[in-house]
Amino acid sequence: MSGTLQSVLAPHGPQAGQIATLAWVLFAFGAVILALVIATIWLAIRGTPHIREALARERTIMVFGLALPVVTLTILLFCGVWLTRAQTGHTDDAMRIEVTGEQWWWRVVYDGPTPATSANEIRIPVGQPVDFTLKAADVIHSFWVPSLGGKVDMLPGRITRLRLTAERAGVYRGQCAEYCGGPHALMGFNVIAMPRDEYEAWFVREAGPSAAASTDVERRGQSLFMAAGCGTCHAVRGTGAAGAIGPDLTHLAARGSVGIDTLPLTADNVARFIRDGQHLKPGNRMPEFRIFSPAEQTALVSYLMSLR
Amino acid sequence: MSAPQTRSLADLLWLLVGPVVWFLHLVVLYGAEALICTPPVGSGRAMMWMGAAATIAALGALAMLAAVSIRRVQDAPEEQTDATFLRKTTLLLALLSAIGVIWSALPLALVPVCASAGG
Amino acid sequence: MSEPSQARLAGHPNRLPRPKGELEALEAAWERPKGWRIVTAVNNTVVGYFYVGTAVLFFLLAGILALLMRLQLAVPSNTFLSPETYNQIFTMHGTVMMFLFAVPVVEAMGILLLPQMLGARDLPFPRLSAFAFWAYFVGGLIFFGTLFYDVAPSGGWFMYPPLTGAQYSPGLGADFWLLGIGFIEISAIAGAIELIVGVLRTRAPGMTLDRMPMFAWTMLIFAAMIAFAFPAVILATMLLELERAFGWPFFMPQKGGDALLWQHLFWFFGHPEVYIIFLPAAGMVSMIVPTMARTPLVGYRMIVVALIATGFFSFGLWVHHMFTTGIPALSLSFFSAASMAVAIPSGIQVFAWIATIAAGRMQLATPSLFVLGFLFIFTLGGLTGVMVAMVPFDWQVHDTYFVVAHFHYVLVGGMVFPLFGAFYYWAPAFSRRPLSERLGKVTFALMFVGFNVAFFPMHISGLMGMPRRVYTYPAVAEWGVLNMISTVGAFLFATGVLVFLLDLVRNLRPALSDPAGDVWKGASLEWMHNHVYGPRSVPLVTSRDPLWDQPGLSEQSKEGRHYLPGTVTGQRETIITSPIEAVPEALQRLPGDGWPPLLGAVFTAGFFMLLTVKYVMLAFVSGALALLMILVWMWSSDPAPLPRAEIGHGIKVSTYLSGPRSHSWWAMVVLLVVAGSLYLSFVFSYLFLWTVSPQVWPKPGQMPPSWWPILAATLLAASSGLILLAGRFLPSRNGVAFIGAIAVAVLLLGGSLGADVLSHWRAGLRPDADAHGALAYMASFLQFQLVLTLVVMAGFAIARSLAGMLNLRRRVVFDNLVLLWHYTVAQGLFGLLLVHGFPRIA
Repeated sequence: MSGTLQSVLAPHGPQAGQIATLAWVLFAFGAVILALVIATIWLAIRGTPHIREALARERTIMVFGLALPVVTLTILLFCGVWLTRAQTGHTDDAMRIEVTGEQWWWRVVYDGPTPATSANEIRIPVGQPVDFTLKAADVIHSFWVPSLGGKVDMLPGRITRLRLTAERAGVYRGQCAEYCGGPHALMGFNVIAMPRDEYEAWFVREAGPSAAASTDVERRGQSLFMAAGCGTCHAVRGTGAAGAIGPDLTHLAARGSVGIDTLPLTADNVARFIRDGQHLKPGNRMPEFRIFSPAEQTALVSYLMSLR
Repeated sequence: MSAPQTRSLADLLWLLVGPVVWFLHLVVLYGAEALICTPPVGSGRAMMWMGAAATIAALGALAMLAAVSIRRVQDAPEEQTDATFLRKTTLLLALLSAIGVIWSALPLALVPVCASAGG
Repeated sequence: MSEPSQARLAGHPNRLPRPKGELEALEAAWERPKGWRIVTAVNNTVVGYFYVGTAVLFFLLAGILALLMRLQLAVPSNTFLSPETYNQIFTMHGTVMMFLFAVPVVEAMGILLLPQMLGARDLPFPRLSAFAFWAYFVGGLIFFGTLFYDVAPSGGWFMYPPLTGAQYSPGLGADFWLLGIGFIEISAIAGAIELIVGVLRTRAPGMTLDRMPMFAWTMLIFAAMIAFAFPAVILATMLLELERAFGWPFFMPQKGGDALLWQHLFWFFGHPEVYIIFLPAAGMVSMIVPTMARTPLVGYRMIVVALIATGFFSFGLWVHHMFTTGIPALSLSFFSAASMAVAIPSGIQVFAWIATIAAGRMQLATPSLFVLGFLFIFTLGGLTGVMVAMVPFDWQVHDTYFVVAHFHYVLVGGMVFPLFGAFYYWAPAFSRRPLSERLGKVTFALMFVGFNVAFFPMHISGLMGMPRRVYTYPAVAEWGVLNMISTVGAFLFATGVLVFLLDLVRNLRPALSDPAGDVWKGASLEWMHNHVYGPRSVPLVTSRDPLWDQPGLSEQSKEGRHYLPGTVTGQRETIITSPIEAVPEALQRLPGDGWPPLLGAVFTAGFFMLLTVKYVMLAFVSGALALLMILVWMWSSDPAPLPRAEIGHGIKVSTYLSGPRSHSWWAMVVLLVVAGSLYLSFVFSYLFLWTVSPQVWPKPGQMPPSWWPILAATLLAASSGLILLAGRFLPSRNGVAFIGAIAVAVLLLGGSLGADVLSHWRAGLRPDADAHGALAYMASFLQFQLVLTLVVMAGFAIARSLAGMLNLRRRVVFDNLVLLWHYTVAQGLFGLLLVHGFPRIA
């Protein structure tokens, strides 16, 4: 997990940056007011009779309780509304990515002449504003990448939008922020911002099918994959597996994690997830497959790990 | 006996007039935008007119309420402390409500109509 | 009429010594049941004690759930609790704290304290408060028990559909939540009606509105807010339960429903809820501070203004919980402004307390410490509240631990700390011994330090990206440390609560008569020599701080020099006064103890719970028994008028009021407000879903022919007319015509409802087909509930008239029937206009 960023106070994009600035202004404001209240309480209890007499009037309430909040809150409200305006109503062009929240993973579709489908990992070019089109397949989810900007809910039957821009290359962790039942806690994802040329090279690979299984073991794994019915739920473009219920696995091995961000992607973890998924991510929709012999499992996993 | 009693009960309800005006103003603004932003989307200009009219009406009503309360406080005989109490309270509530109305109207001047976070 | 005027109230004190037997008769009338029969008691002191005790029990239970959660989150990737268990636990923690602790405990404090504070002998409807308590007690325990059978709800305390719909929460858990909480809210509304009428109509003579103790003001506004806010969530729970049970698609987008409808309705209740909880606590602070500083409250009027403003403003910021749902930014900004507005009244109150502290000399006893702790924590919570009211900032912190920290600062700081202060402050009024100052200070220190250690780090973990409601988290460096600190703090806080319990065991000696008394030298009437029945005689109040400004008042009251020193009728009584000037208007006879409220509540709870587990037959048996109990209870209400009675000072008042001066009329009006706001929530739902899915609304040609609604409307109007006519036939003139008019009116009312439903059915409309169909039938369903109530009430009125207990003078039963009847007709006419008219013009 090291090297990934997931913090409101470590902004790496203009949207998050503006909000972080607002946050620091608010913290400063809060600290000053809190100090003022504590100081007045102290003076009210321990102050000299002169000070206490001055405090013990209705004027104190009028000045500190009414006038001061009206003035400070008007300023704050103005800042808040100004910033709201700055973050809404974009009309310029941006790249579009559609993300659908499902129990408990993320379907990612890159807009393009031939839309490319992926899951649980989003790659974007550095410096490029991206408009996310957000949907929900079942219950309410919420799409949130703290280091890049605010969150927006994904609501069944509605389409919501969010614009984010990454200013620097890096891995930004996101997480579902609206409780969606079961293993909601484990519904994370990574946004990987890459330099534009690298991104474009990656996208060409991503939009295409995965390389055909090349070794015997991988071919055996592929036939096991098909025979066990994995293709009913999962798609591997370029093969007969075209299921749309679970995450698209076309380029699984090019992603960083298995089981929706639960475990780092290693052959061992892929095997564990297939065999022991309900333990690793309790409640997830994929049944545990314990039907494979060790050799079969190795074959299946090497097939999956070849999907680049 | 029943006559003065109903009059004073009405005084109690006067207390609520200021905040009610504030609430109606908010509901009108929110309702107007909800309707205007329902497809087919209406014009932003309609929203501005609507908002401006509602705000002027609300502030006008609150100003009248304040004027009436001030006059009644001045007219009230000295010993009627509870009547004066209610009217001064009404006055202060009108002031707070006016602040609320102005604050609600502030975004109208700044935020585009029907826009949401993603653009 | 020679009613006493304000000037005459000064009057002459009663002659002393008391006439022989006066005190004995008073004590006999108010004697409380002995032994286990204490459960039949309806007196506010007994019920209040039970009520506060039960609420504290739920605080402890929900607190234990919190500790379990903190244990699970102490380290990353912990497996102490399974996800499903954790999800149930956090759902129950929130639900129990909000619905079974926070609202009931302040309502309980109101029931316990208000009569003593207002100089009344009891609340105006003692059996209603007993019913409210027992309903809450039984319903609450059953609801909590679901946790042990693994059928507890797990959808979070705000129960967002579709997660809580039948598809994604197929078990019984969500049903327990919907029916259980809906039921407990009805109990809260019953309590609220009691409190509103109590504050407005049972104050001691001379206690004008501007002399009323601040706690009474807060309870008045608290109860009014319940009457407006709770109906929204009651409607929401009805809609969701109908969707779950019968597939009426209010929240299903495929059929024109919308998940956001739930959020609007829930938060229209949920945001005011926070202030519903906070205001009474602020009222407690406004009572404690002047006593501890030994000086009158500074800025009394400004505090009243702040309370009323809070009450209103809090209804204008429900969308503040929906900033991330993609609602247009301009709308969000309106609500951002409203959220700012609600901060002002809090500022006024905080500085009013500070000014009061400065005006006197603060005695740093345990209650003061809790008040100071409250000021610090609540101010911080208020400031983070201003932060989350800023739309862009909320986009980041919404649904994170920052918000968890924020609302615990507001709720624990704003409510639990004042409450503990109140326990220490008022214990001497209800216990033979005050609580220990030494243990109290230890409790405060542990709670204050523990609270801040537990919750301050959550601000940071939220900003570090930790969402709320996660049962575990990966081993990210900072999260682990922050969570461990929070867990340690939570256990410190819990230790503080344990010390408090120890203090209770050692020192709390419940005493309904002769408690320790006025150890703090307070100013308000609950510090007089009080008894189970309140004061020995009801004092004439001429000041805002009567015990300070009217020397000797307590002794005079004890000796019987003031009003109602004994019992005039030999029964329990209290004085009904006018709402503003508190001029005595009548002597109200109060009912004694008995089984019906308890049994009625048990059977009502049985009805809801059996319905939840789908024992429909048994449920209806239980419901019928509940109705029977309530009828038995109602039968003995509305006693016959007696001659005018002297309440002391040579003042004679009526013993029977009807029409707008009757306390029962006031209660009915509050009930109509509740019904009206329930219906307004429905109208909002109808229009809201239309803006979302106009495509499922029928074209004018698909509507039932317009003569159907015209027929239904005519029947409604005719039934109202017949009821007016029945009033002219009140039995002293013509019993048969009276009964006939009412019976025909009932038939017309039922016929109107039937015509409306039939018209939809024949037009091919089905409630489970789409959102419009569901709403059209929902209008009839809401109407059906009222009609059913009216049928029972009409039968009751007929029975009373046959028994000779309803006539031109003794007419409260009929007056209440008339009020509800006309309301029902008005609602029905509006419903016809909406459901049949709107699709034609839309």
